[in-house]
Amino acid sequence: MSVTGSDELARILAAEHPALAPALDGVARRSLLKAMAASLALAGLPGCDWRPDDDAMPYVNTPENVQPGRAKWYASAVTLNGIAQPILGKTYTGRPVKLEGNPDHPLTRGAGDVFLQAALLGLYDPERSQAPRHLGRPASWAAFDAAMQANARALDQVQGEGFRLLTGAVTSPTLARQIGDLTRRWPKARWHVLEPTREDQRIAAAQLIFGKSLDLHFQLDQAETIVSFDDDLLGPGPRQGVQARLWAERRRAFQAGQGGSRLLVAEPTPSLTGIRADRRLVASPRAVADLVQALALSLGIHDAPAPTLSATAQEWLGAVSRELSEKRGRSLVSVGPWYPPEVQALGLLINEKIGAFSKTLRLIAPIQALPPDDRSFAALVADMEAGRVNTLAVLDANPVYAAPADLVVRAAMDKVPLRLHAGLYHDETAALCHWNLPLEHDLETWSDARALDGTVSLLQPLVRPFYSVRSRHTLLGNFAGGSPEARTVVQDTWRQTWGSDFDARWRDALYSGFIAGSAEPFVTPTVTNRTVIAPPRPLSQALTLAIRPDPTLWDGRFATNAWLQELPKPITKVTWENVIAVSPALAEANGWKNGDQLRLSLEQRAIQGTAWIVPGQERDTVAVTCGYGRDLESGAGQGGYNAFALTATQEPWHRSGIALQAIGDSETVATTEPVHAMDGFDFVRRVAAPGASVAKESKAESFYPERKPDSPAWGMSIDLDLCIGCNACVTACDAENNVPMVGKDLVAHGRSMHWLRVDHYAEDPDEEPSFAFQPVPCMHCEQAPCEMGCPVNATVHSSDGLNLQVYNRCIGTRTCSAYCPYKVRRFNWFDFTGNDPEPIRAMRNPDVTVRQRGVMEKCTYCVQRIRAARITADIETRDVRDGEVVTACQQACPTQAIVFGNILDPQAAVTQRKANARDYALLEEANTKPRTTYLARIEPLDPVERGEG
Amino acid sequence: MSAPSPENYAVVTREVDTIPIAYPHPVIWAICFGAALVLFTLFLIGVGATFRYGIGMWGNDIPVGWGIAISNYIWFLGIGHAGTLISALLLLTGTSRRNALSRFAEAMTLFAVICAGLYPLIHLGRPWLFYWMAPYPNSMTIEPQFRSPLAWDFFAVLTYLTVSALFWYIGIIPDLAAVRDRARKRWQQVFYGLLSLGWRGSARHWARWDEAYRLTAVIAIPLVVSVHSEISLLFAAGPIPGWTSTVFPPYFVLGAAFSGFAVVSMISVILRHALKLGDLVTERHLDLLGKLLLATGLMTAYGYWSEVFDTLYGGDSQELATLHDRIAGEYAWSYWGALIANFVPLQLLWWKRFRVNPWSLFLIGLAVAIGMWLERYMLLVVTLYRDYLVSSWGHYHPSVWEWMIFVGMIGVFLAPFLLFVRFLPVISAFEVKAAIFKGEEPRHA
Amino acid sequence: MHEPGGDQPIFGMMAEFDRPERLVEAARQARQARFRALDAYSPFPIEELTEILELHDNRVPILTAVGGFLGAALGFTLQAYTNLAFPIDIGGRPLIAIPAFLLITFELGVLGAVLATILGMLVLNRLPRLHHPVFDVETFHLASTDKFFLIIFSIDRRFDAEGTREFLMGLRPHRIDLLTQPAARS
Repeated sequence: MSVTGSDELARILAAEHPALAPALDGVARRSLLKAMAASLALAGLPGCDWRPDDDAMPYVNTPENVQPGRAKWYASAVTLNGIAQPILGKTYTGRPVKLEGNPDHPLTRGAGDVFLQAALLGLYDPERSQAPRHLGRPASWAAFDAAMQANARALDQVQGEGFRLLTGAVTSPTLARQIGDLTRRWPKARWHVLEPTREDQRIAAAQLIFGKSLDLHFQLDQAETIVSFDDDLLGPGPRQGVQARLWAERRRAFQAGQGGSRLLVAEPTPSLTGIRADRRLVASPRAVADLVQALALSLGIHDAPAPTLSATAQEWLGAVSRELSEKRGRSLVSVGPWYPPEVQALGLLINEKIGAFSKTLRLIAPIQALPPDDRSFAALVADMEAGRVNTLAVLDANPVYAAPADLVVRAAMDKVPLRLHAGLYHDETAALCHWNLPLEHDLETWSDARALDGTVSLLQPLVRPFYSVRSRHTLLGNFAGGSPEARTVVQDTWRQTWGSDFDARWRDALYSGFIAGSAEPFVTPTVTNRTVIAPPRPLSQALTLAIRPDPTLWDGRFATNAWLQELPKPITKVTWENVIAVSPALAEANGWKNGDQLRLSLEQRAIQGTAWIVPGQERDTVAVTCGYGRDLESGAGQGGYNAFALTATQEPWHRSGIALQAIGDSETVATTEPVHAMDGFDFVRRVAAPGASVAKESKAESFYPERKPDSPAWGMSIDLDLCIGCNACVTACDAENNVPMVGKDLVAHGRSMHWLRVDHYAEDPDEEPSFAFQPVPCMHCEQAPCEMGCPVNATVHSSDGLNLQVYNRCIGTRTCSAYCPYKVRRFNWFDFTGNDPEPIRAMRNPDVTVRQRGVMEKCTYCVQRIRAARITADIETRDVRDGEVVTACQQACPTQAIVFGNILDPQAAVTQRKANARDYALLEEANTKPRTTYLARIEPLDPVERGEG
Repeated sequence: MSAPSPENYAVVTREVDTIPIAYPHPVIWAICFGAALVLFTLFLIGVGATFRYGIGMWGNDIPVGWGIAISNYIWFLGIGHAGTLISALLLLTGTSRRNALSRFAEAMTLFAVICAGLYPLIHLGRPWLFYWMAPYPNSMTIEPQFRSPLAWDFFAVLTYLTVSALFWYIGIIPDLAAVRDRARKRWQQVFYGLLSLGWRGSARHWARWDEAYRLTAVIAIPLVVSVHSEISLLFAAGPIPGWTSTVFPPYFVLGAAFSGFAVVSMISVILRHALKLGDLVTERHLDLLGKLLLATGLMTAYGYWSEVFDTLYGGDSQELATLHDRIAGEYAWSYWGALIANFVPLQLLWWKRFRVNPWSLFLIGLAVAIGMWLERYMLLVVTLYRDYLVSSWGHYHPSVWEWMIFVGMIGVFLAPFLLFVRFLPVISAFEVKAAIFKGEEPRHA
Repeated sequence: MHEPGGDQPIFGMMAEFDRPERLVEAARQARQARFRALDAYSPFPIEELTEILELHDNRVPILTAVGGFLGAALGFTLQAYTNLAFPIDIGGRPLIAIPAFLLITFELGVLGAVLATILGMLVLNRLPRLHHPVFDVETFHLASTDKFFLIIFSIDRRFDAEGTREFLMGLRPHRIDLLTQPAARS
């Protein structure tokens, strides 16, 4: 029989293998069969071809013909909240296997975060929607195009009346240009933005006092004193990489004795910034606002009645004003984006007073493209309810899940006749739309986006799309009835800007990964309005709810990303769910224990979550995070609760009047660190001044012969004074070393597989605790107990001082783990890799063995990178240079807390680090002579404390 | 003391060597053996599931990578040692009283060591590669890592198994010959004929046999000491608080003898009752066992005390923390359980009437067996679940599969032991006769 | 060679006693009568017989020593050789870690000693030997229960059917049998 043109077969195939559908209209027999074969063979990976996009430009020139086993690097970017995170993508024969921050980028200089690292898994995520659907059933792109053309013709008649575009935050010049064209063609069409974690209250504050919206740039490298009013400067989000890097620069100068580095934080619930603070004040959100006002008052910014402050708060504020007056022009005050514009405005005025403007606080024109008059999402919902919307095109946004709860989106959706959804996943919104249009992932698409400072990065595909997907630019064109090709659209944007020398600059931009000199210039703003309006303050004194983005799932967009789901939250070390964080005092008063199920109700809505006692949390503050409680058809990301159900348009981050009660039962929480107290031991050591040296233990005698290590002798130094506990190293390690994820139950069972863990300590948790982070990889002990314990020579020492784990020799006695004082070894209790879906296999780093069931594994110091460097060096008949081997964790660390190298090379950075007086070995008493050592935290007492002490 | 008469010799032979040929209570035996087989099946199921799906079926995790598999390994091996000790020590000290005990004590050793030896194999992550523990020529020229306590154990257990088997076997040959000579059924004659190697009691043979037997006994005693010292190094060689202690080897050896004597007491009481051996396993034997139990028990108690003392005297904060976890931690029940079960009932043995009363001896033995199990469990789990870094503290809860394998392992012990009771002379008849001849064993009518 | 080979038509003459004391006495007298090729059979070891018949054989302890030494030597060389042949740095421990190696050395020493002892004993005793002429004696099966036998082998210089029977009669045994060899019979 002839298959060609058989509509029947086409229909069946479309149903069975949606992704084949596009191949079906006017399909040729051979290609159809080929596609079928591929589809059936690759189990949901139709036409999967791991070919690089020939038009993409590799970061370094390699011969055009791909050499298997030789990695190609592409410069591109991934986006978070639309903001570019510049990357270098490592690809093998067209398969991206690792992302790293782009070290040449003028702003980030290679700094990145967990989201950057985990974007790789996002590309291969089997949960992604893989082909267009109409009314929930597989459809073909052709059908979609036809529908759009018809719709566009209709809209042309009415100047786009009733057409609404809903996007996330947009920084892409190309997308902005396209939207501009669209609204010019359809004057009555409207564009709305919904970005749940967008800093719009900050923008509003700028509006308030400058009369125009501006972006804040915290020059943390200039600020010797930073006062943070509940602003998580070092915390997760698009700003983390950059700000952590800048802060670390200042910190390193301070360590070298040049200037100060003080961080004073007032916050209701512990944040990475608070944990890094020199002085941390525990204050309710309301008290934080009061503190800002009081500070403003003391600086004579306004003469409103002074708010009442607690004794400790006044004492803290005293220290703050002292510091600020001492460090005029070298200090910075920042107010968290969670606070109302009025409070933020005060913060800006304070910065003006202390001479922060254009020194420690720079301002630039907003990098986000915003609708001419920022028509809020609320307006859209109102119009939808009023029936004024007949075409809703949702582009990479998820209103049904993430909208503030006071907007009844679901109901409003029903009133829209044509609903289009373009996204990476078939999410809650997709479920309510007629058309679901799968988007290309950042790593397989042509686009552009801007970094925090406005520098434009070109997004180029690292691999050709292997699902039946389209880029956001193409889709936007489709909505308007066209069918542009993404690369051309992006090129057009820049052809307009660059004109004649387009080709050269285009190529350069693709090579380097960014467009040089495209950063927004700093502006020196003039304050147009100094009248301070008292911020609205919650009347009730009862519990306050603090809602925050999740440190690992952000706003929920990463709910299907196992690396992020299983990544322990920096502070609670909880995985696979979000908890309801309560203060020890509150838990004490109500008799709650970790794991108790609580019902948190607000107005008519309520969520049920797990109680988690967080030392250092303000007594009457309850903290929750967004991003969980997803409702995907695949059932992924169901853990935890959806905190957006508690948000309101006017109060997105802080709510009062909540009720909290235990519903009786309790559940096990999958945490990787059950106990956070240091129990009086000195795992994390502290010194009082940069120069000071840690108390060294008397050198213990060893029975074993003193060995002269031969060069290179690899070693690592981790500066606990720079570590902010951001977890970037952990995710980088997962990606580099094919670390398997094991799921909630096994994590709860103490079987998480992370090779690198970041221990979190909170001492004397009852009153104001002192916190610390401590990354713990394998120590690569010179006198390793694990090696002595292994009966089969499966863990042995290499000549360059690595503690090797020989997987195929291991028989799984687990003696090494029993003998390891640091418990850094991980065991394959089951076959964790055998049933990985095809895309996950494709993602694996080919340089790293995939471990079998029943063998031990652990940190290898990225031995594959060491060997690669050595081979290159051997070919060039030279020694491996310092800095030539960069471990995955070291590369990912935004503060460069981790340094790796040859400890016998006196010039090497690591050698100099270890020469530092703060250098100490963890568990020195075990006398294992670890190659990984730490630099102690510097915690100087400030004048007041000295006076008191 | 009346001059020994030939009847006496005949009586002994009848009492002992009749058992294999015409077993007194075949029905009861069959029931017991059936039960043992049921347990054995449980063992197969548990191990099968573990091999099929991986060691993750057990409760182990990081930090507690070892569980009852290893603590049972130590426990079973410890029990085993008693057989060799009783037999060899009493032989060398020329106590004729051993004759009634040695045979089944040695059998117990044999089967307990087999159980012990199985545990390290099934607890491997990749059990099918267990033979990599043995040195053998291979293309990779990779051999075992001989500094590892596990490598030592491998050789120790293997040697111990071989030696105790041989010791037991040459001891039983003359009695097998006796059974052969009394056997009437053909299969019995063939079976015992082959087993007894054609032994004919020639004076020449007796002379060499006696030398060999005593020499083996002399060697067996230091062997026992070395074997359990090595087992203790499995812990003591690790740099983990609660393990790194020089008291461990003697502590373990004594504990082993202690638990072993306890089980020997239990077995002798049962056999004595079941096989009507009252006039062979006499009160004097029970008395002897009671004394041995008491002595080793007190020495073990000293071990407990010295461990606590060392910790307090040494004052190392990590060691102190571990001590605290033992007496007040999540698994304190195992510490106090061990202390009470091991030493409280034991004190009754100061009085002779409790030593010679079979049932009190049995119950005390049972208590000690349980107590020593708790001790091994405590030593392993408490040390691992909280070691140096607070951040990596964890828990350990044995899974149902581990319990199944444990219960099943008792079947692995009982099934062959019951076969031994049924088909082999459980008491060294010829030695009893020799004793009668020497006048050491007057016969009461 | 203390027993007649299969070529001898007559194997020896055996007397049965019902008490060990009598056997001991008989053996002593046989020695006094300067019989050399003797053996006795009893259900249990009788030290006096070892004395009287001069059966002391120190080859067994020698075997023990040799076996033990060889085993230990094997144990240590095995460990030393494998470490030298493929030197690997193990936790900074010395390549030849004597204290660590001694344990296996000891174990293999013990193994060697015991194997040598027991196997040696069996070999010297020519065991296993499932059949033996003495089994032809009707009541010999009691040798493992409560009967005691003395045999004078035909290879004894002083052996002659009549004289030996006379002599044995003098020992007042239960019974006397003349053992002939099956091989010679046929």
